[in-house]
Amino acid sequence: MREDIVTNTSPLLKRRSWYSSTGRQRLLVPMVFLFPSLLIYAVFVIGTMMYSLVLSFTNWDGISRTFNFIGLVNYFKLFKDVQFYNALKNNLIWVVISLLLPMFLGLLLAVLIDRQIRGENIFKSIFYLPMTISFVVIAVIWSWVYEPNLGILNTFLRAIRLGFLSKAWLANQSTALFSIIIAASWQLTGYSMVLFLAGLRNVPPELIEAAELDGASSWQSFWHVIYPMLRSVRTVVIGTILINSFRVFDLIFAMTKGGPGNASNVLAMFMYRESFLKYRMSYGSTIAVIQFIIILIIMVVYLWRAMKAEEEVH
Amino acid sequence: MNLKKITRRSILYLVLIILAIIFLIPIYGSIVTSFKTVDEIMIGGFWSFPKHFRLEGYIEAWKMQNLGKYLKNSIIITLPAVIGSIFIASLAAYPLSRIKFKGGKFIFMLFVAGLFLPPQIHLIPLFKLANMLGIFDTYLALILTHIAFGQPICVFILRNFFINLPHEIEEAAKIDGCNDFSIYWRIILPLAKPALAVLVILQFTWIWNEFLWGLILTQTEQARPLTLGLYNLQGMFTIEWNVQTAGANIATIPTIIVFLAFQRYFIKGITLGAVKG
Repeated sequence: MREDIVTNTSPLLKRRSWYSSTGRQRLLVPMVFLFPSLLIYAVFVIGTMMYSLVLSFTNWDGISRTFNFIGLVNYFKLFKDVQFYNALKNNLIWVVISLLLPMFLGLLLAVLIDRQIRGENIFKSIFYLPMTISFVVIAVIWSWVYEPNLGILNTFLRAIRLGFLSKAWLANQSTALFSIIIAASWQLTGYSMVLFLAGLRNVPPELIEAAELDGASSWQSFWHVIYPMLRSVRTVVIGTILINSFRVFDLIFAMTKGGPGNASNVLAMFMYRESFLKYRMSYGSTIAVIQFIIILIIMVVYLWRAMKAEEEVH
Repeated sequence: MNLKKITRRSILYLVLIILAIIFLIPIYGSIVTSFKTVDEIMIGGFWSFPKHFRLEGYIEAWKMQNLGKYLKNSIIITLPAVIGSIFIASLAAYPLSRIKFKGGKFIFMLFVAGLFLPPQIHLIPLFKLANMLGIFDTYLALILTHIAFGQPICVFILRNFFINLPHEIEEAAKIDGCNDFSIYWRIILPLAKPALAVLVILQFTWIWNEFLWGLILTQTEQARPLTLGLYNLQGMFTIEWNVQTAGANIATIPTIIVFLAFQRYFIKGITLGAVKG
């Protein structure tokens, strides 16, 4: 008896649910709202990503009208390419230094500024300012700092009798990459500082007071009380640095183009060179896909570990 | 006890001031150098304060290097891109946060995933797409690209903001017979002003400073943005540091002004997207 009613009325119900404004929400209105955004996003972002993927399985050079599908040939080529490993190595160096320098410096600055000092806003602005500057501008400013004859770094070294340390920072194979990373860190420190400051401000003062009442020194109360509470901020900062270290391009392009030679080559620069300078667009696409996969893996692993750690705390 | 405290505070200030000075040195160098003549630079180097403020660097950068045109291009590209990306994202964020529908979560995740994609994976296809649509080397190519790539961050921030807005007004409006668009336009959007302000600042800075899409999608000075113009300056005037630094200063003045005027929003924006709750 019951089934009868259901089968008799269900077609009606199905029709109604598209237009009814109560009960189950309809699909039409959301889709209309989402349409412009999804359309442009799907074409320009998702579509292009798919296209790169497909391209990586071809041998298109960027100019010819025709190309063939060659399967995984590009990928095998990539895994045998010394340049790939060199670039990857440089990205890893970037990660390590970025995690050591700007992150801790940012934390230090946040801790210092958090102590309710006068002129807090001025200090915050000074350290954060580089984040509002374009990478190309940073490239010009820092290239000037690194200028071998007149730049401030070398003139300073000479002024304090350490002139023998002066180098052509950006033209020297062993210092080019580090020099660029320092310039990038100048910018990244502000970001790290702002986030840590926000995190510090979220630490309930009662906890700190309780620790101090128990006789903890400032160092102890920081390390054992405050630092653990910064976990979620740390996760964001480290995660951001991890991802960005594998995406860096603008600064390297504007300062050294990956040179001298391949000394400061990174994955993104490598991809650009192969695609637009050597006209091996399918190979370039392969590099881009692998770059994406690397970032994906790092992200997944990192987030998984971060979430596990959070669970352990609770 | 008091002396200890005073010494501690002094050290704190000292460290901060030293670090602040170190941080400002590159900027100081850029400003000071831009007002010198080439000869003065050769003699005085980086440090010295210019004897007279000479504007040659700026004049050269502006006139000879067409920075005026590039500045205009950047404005024409950035303003529509900022408005367009935020408006469209707010449209998308409304159902994602206030309407329960099938696939809503998936679509949101799709947008969020875009935050992690390396731009390299879009480069070649974008280049091809612009050519295919016949918009290569035009403003439209860059505007559309910026709008598209602005969706992840804008949808993310707006959706998370909308979701926390109270429902009572909306329910009252629904009883009065308001349709979804009215609710969106007359209730949600006005309430979202803080988040919108933050996004305007962030998007403006991000798009104004952007380099890669400009590199790929423009070829002539027709649509070339300021960042590209500055980059070209580098190539041509390697010795004339006054011209280069002048160019750099011109390129960065708008974002610095925006930053100084709206600092609060900047800092809010970074933390809104980053720190939970």
